[in-house]
Amino acid sequence: MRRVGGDLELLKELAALFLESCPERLPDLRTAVERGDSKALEQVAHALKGAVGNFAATAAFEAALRLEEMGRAGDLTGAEAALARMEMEMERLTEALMALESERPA
Amino acid sequence: MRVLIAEDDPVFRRMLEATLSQWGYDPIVTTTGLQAWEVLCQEHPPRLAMLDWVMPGMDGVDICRRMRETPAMQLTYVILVTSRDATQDIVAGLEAGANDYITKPYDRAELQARLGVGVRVVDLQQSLADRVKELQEALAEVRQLQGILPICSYCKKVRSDQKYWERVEDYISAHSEVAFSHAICPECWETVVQPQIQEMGWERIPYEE
Repeated sequence: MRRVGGDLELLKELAALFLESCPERLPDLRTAVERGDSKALEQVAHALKGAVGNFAATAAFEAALRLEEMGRAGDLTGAEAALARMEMEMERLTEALMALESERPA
Repeated sequence: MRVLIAEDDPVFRRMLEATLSQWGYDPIVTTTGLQAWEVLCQEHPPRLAMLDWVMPGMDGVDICRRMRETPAMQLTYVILVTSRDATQDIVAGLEAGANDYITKPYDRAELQARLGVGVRVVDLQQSLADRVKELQEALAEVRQLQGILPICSYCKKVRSDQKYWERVEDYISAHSEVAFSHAICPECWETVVQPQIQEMGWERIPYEE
């Protein structure tokens, strides 16, 4: 909340924007890992990392960061585990943001 | 003050727009490097810009490089927004021509402070530019006192640039800070005034400064 200066309406707006654009990128991560495409992995992970970072979602941020670094290094060892983690964190974040949307203004 | 934003992530873009508006800036929002470049190419580009580093097509660093090659854009203060915090990336950004950088996710207070620095620099540049303009105008006026001035050999009137004859004191007052206080020199006192005094039957009056 602090990041939006305490503006709940703005936060809801941002949540809506996130929900419109980000969950559909998640499968791209899986595709990149399955194809061993480290460049694509780095790019998608980077974009998602930035997006979740807006909501101070630390766990999702770190999961994305790990995937991005793997992509950048070209070493996809352990990518499957990291990906599973990312997918779980994204789901948690998505649920939290959807709950926010239905909250009545204070 | 107008601030150009170039950011491809919709969430971050909206947050930046809202935050800048809250602080009293006037955000100009673009989503790609190319759009941002088009805004910069307009006649009076925004003096502040926050450019995302990583964008498809023209990225923040490309824009910086191009800006520094374009005279009309030199006065714009650029903050690169980056989630890359490796030192060599920061160095690359600053060398490409950015004035400052901020990493995302950013700290609100830090962003506000860095924008404040940008505003100070922009204001300083503006007052310098204004001062230069003033001095240039003053210099142009001073130059008017140089050159050849036709002067009448009899009455000493001069012909000004507007092609009419005027008294010397009028010409000089118009073109400088000099003000005239009318007096009489010793020679004219003797040759012009003294005879008039004697004509009226008075005694000679000695010259006084």
